[in-house]
Amino acid sequence: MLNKTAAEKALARAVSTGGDFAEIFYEDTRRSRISQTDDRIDTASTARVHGAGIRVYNGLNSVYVHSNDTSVAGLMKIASAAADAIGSVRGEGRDIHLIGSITPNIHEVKQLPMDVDGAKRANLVRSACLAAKSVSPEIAHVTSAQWDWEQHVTIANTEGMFKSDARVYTRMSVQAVASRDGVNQTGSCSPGGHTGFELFETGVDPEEVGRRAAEQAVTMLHGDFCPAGVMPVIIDGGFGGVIFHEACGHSLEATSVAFGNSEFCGKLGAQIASVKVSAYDDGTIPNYWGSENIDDEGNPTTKLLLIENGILKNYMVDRLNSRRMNMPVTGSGRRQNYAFAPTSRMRNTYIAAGTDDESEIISSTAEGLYAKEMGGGSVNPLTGEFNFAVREGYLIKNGRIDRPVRGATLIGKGGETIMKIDRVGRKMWMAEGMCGSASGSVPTCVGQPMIRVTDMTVGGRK
Amino acid sequence: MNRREFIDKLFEKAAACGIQECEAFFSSGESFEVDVLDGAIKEYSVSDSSGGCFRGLYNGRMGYASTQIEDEEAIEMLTEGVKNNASLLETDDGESIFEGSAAYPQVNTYDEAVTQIPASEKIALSLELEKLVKSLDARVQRVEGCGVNSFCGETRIVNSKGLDVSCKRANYTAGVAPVVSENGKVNFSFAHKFARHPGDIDIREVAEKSVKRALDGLNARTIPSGQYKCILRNDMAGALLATFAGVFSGESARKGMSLLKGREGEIIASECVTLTDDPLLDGAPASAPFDSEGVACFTKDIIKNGKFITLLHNRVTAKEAGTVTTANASKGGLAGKVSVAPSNLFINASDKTPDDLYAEAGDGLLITSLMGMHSGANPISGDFSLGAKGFRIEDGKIAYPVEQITVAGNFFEILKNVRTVANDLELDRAIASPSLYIGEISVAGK
Repeated sequence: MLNKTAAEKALARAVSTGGDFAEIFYEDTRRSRISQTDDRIDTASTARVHGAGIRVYNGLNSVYVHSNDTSVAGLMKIASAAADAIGSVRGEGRDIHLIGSITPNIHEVKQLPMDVDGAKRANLVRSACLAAKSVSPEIAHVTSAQWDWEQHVTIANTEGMFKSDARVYTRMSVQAVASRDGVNQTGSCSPGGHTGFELFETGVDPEEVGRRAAEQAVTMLHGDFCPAGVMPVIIDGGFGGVIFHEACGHSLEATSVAFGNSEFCGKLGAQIASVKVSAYDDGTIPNYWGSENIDDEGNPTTKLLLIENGILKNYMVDRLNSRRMNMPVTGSGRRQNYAFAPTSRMRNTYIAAGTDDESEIISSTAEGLYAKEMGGGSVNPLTGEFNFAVREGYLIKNGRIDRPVRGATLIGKGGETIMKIDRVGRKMWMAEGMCGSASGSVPTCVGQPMIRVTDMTVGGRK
Repeated sequence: MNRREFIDKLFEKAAACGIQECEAFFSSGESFEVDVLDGAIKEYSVSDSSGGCFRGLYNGRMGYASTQIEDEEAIEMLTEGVKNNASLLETDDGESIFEGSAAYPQVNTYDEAVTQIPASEKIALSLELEKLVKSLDARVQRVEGCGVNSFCGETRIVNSKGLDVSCKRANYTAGVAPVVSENGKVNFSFAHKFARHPGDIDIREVAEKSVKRALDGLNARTIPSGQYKCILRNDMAGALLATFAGVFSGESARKGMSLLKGREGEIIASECVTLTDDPLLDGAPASAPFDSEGVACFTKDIIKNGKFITLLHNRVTAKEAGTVTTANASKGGLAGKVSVAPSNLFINASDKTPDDLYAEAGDGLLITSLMGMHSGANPISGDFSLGAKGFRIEDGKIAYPVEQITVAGNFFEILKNVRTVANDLELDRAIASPSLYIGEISVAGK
């Protein structure tokens, strides 16, 4: 635990050279992971991540120093290093008086994963593997894994904040490889939550996860190469929301906006998307993978309206960029761990349910691509150029889903693509992912109902 | 508790609780990073990190546990963790603790002088780099990132069989990403330089390279979909090789995740392709005297004139494949199990210039940017479909910039289709290649 007196001393030292704000982020995390390849459990590991980082501001200048040494001497050492870097004034520093508060927990955890017996975890990955193998003799290899971490943080700053929070994440993943005539295709499924081990009793059936991954691999093995060209694209719900995450979400983070590195700079109140599109970034949904109680700057998480009927309403803003942009923080400051300074990041980001009938969306599309399951992607916020992989895709012919195609990639520019959404379905759901950016890799959900983009460039080999 | 005490207590406790043989792998380092914007510091970060991974043989199985704090509680957590985790394992892959190599090579990975460069000098260098970039062309609007980072650290492996080896590493890197605009069109590019000795970075060279690349890409357009003769610029050929480097791993092969399993001796690439893994290269990014199991490193060809010579192995994968380790044991992060990874991996250069390659293609496409490597490339099948940018080549010369296209193909087919290798190998990254003329490739555009 971070000692309050030690934190007060370190913060005082950190602002002793002219800094106007300082913060300590203290972390103690335990991680565990077990995985099985084919018929045997081949990895089991536990790890303890431990350290603290001190951040000091002087106006818009910011310095971050971190270390594994969280003893009083260790904290004073990093505080001094930060102070030396931010300014040259030699002062006494001001008195810091921290006032502790209890962080309300909106994510109930019934079974701490660290307390779960190893044999129970082993059974889980074993049953997922078996279920995947049983789908088809073409399933050549299966890897299944289950992992979790319990992160305890304390955040203290020169405004008097002294808050602690415990975050518990539990997840599993199955990757299946289907093989025929020297050709390999993969399928995967990776559900998780900001929750305890009860995830596998209430929401996620490990065998179903295994089957889903295997079925996808087999489907793609029998798919033809995707034709290349410009066509209408229907993107299904759940992980399909990665299109919005990549094409739009990253460009609405203050990390890009504050420096003019986003195509959506200065567009608050303007129409940036089709009127069919309303979107949120919501950290408050109980037990969702991207949810939080407080962000990594100690601010309460929020449900943030990003776009309403196509009109841009809000950016996601962290503490430092709120100074740059002269806008309030939105509880969006996140980081992978103490080794990263926080910045504005997404949480659970989704396009809200619309009014279009899903079957009509398909039947009214003469020819195009149906992306049932998306893979990952990336974006350059400056130009809005994005790309992402279609993990499970089908061609649409005469308003019907025709045959599976593999190796499809979707590219485009975010601003142009979200203007071209002409259908938004009624049923919205989300899926879990890890999002990598300036402050490391953080858990996020993406989501949407089925949507249609009137035309997109589809990359393929035919 | 100091490191020596910690190791002694840990090994003592391990022996007392039935761990037959064990090893502690320590990694520590100090890194420094500064990023400037508009003549002022935008980000400044200093880190001091240290951690240990403990593995031990318990009832014949190797358990792992790691920690970033070295206290009494950690000793308990590590030994209990190793026992519990070992008990869960069902594989008996023969993983064991290594007694040590007869001799270790001398490798240039560390220069004390790099660790002595004061922060103020690195900040000044960053500011000068930004100023230079802005002064080179009026179309440079700003930088999206501009700075210097440095690292110095040490890896140490100590085990119960008497091995105690360590290696110090230091390097620094300067990089800049200028944003340029003209007639409302925006483009950006990036260039960096990796060095192990002070004074090895010529910031003018970095600035000029980044600005030229950004300006050259301005006013790009898309091109019709179709088959194009394609040249991968050196950095993109290297990026593609890095994405698919896993296919050469004995670990992937063992798990059935590499299509190269059991194909040693076959022709898998064009005759002009020789792929080398060289951990002994002077001052290169991944140079090292020993691998993550403590085995002495050495240089080997993976592909020699198109012929597949060997997969990369650690002691476990080698044993299973009936061969000897290539000293490519690697740990993916402190907590990770010993796996397999290349060191400095590169396709050997020829004497042809990139211009020779353009002339040879005549009519085609030069790829200078690939996007979506982590999602649009399948390391198991070799298939990729990636967002791309580049230049149209007409009459053997660069004609105009191209954007909003995708290129799709298969890594194994590309290896076979390489027509010509250029002379422009740059080892600024551990996995690198000269520019490659790879024949025809599928392009989706308008």
